[in-house]
Amino acid sequence: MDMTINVQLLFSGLAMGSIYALIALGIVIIYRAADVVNFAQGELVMLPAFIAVFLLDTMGLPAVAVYPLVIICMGLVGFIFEKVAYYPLRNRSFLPVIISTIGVSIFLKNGAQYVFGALPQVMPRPTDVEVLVLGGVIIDPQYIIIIVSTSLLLVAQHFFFERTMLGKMMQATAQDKDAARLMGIPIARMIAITFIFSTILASVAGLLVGPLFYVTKEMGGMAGLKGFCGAIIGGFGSVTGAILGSVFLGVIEVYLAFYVSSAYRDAFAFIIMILVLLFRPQGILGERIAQKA
Amino acid sequence: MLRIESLSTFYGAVQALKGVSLEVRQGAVVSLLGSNGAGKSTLIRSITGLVAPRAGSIVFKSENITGKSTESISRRGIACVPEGRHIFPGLNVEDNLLMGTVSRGKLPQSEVAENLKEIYRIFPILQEFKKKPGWQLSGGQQQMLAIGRGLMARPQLLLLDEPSLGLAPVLVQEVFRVIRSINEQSGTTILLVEQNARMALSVASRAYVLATGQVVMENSAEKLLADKEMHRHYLGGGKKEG
Ligand SMILES: Nc1ncnc2c1ncn2[C@@H]1O[C@H](COP(=O)(O)OP(=O)(O)OP(=O)(O)O)[C@@H](O)[C@H]1O
Ligand SMILES: [Mg+2]
Repeated sequence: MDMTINVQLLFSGLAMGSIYALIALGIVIIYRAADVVNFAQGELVMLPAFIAVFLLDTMGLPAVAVYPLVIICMGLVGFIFEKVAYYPLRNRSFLPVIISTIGVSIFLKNGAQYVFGALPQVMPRPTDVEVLVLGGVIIDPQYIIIIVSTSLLLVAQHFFFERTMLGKMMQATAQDKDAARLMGIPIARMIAITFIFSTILASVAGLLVGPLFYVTKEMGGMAGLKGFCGAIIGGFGSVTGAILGSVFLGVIEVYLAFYVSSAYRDAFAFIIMILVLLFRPQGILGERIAQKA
Repeated sequence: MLRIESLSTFYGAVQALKGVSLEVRQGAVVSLLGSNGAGKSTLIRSITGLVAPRAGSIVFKSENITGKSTESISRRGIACVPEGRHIFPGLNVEDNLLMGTVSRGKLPQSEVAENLKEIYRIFPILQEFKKKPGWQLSGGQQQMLAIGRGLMARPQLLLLDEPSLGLAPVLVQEVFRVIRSINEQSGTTILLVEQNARMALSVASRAYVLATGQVVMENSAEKLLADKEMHRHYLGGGKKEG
């Protein structure tokens, strides 16, 4: 009996970890490419969820059309975001850009409320299957959808960055901008593509997590923070670290909520993060970055 | 091929170049000498557009490239092996070399493979380590990689900023041998920044000496090697440098 519960918890933890990983990854690749900590990443999870609810519910479009449409829209949002919040400030110090991303986050929250209303909304699920029973364990099919989609996306992203010329040029830009320029790499375009890519990762997270909770203008705040925690636990700046840290966070959080206290679920994320910062400030994979620099 | 006239470059209020003029003829190896802080790297960074000169002009193949973007300058056929190597730490050796071809636009796979083979012939150690990430290479290997990456651009003009810095004496010999052969075999024009004046003058046909942002001497390599002033200040009175 205990076993079934533990397996259920594991699936739910992996699903949440996957969501955190998508958010953390978006934060980390923007940080690496542009030296910007994007405080609007959570709102880039919230916005696509609202758009999806609107298209699915109000417009009655089928999910197969809505998901790609939302992702394309969000790609455009990412492009505009870079042009408005980052590009004009790219030669300034760290702080102005951070403040500008905080501004965008506030704007998106209020904009969402203005356009979509203040009431929490429900995103229809992509499947009619209510529950999955795997070897006697009852699992929410949305968890499986989340875990599988995220895994596929991560594999695709790995292939893109390691095997394609564009991916390598984006890595080069993130690692050494002057050298990248000397190679003739158009670094402004690489950074714009990075913002678009990162926004798309966040929107996939929004589409996947939407059906699990209410879609509200505040949903991005906690999502963004958990993404940060995941990235910090893994070793801020490391791509693999962001994924591992987030999955670790998602799983441990679910177990602690179940066995210790569900009221403190969100607090656990920060407690773990603080413990990591105290005892291993470089994060799980921090060493590799130190060597890299 | 490259003509620089009265170039002045500033870092904030500090003037690092004070009206430098210099010419590099097609097919030549020209060396730029001078001690620490003389402004050599600043001149290279001005040519590649990494810093914007405040006055003067840089003309490459009868086109004024002053103030153009670094990306566009590299696409015009100027490659640079920067001071401190600046290889991409997280990319492996082969991918670092591939980045060198970006300035040439889209290339057929076969041509890239051919170019890689050539670099591996010059630097066999790079082939051996082609899957190693850049940060794992030793200083000497990184330097070879930086030069190889510069060559992958098939540049008309190659700028080398202190390629022998921090290398063991055997490797220094090796690097200079490669520089000479690049020039002789593919006719690549080279501007070579060096503190190792004796070595530099052995490959260069002409040299300029910079001191506090100004050209203080310019002549053929032969004349400079025989010059008394040159001996006293830059050739260490005939002593070999380590
Ligand atoms: N980024 C910078 N900001 C301010 N001053 C700089 C900067 N880079 C160089 N300088 C100054 O400009 C002058 C020329 O420096 P530069 O690097 O061009 O010299 P160099 O001849 O290449 O020296 P080295 O042989 O040590 O490489 C020096 O006085 C240096 O302190
Ligand atoms: Mg220098």
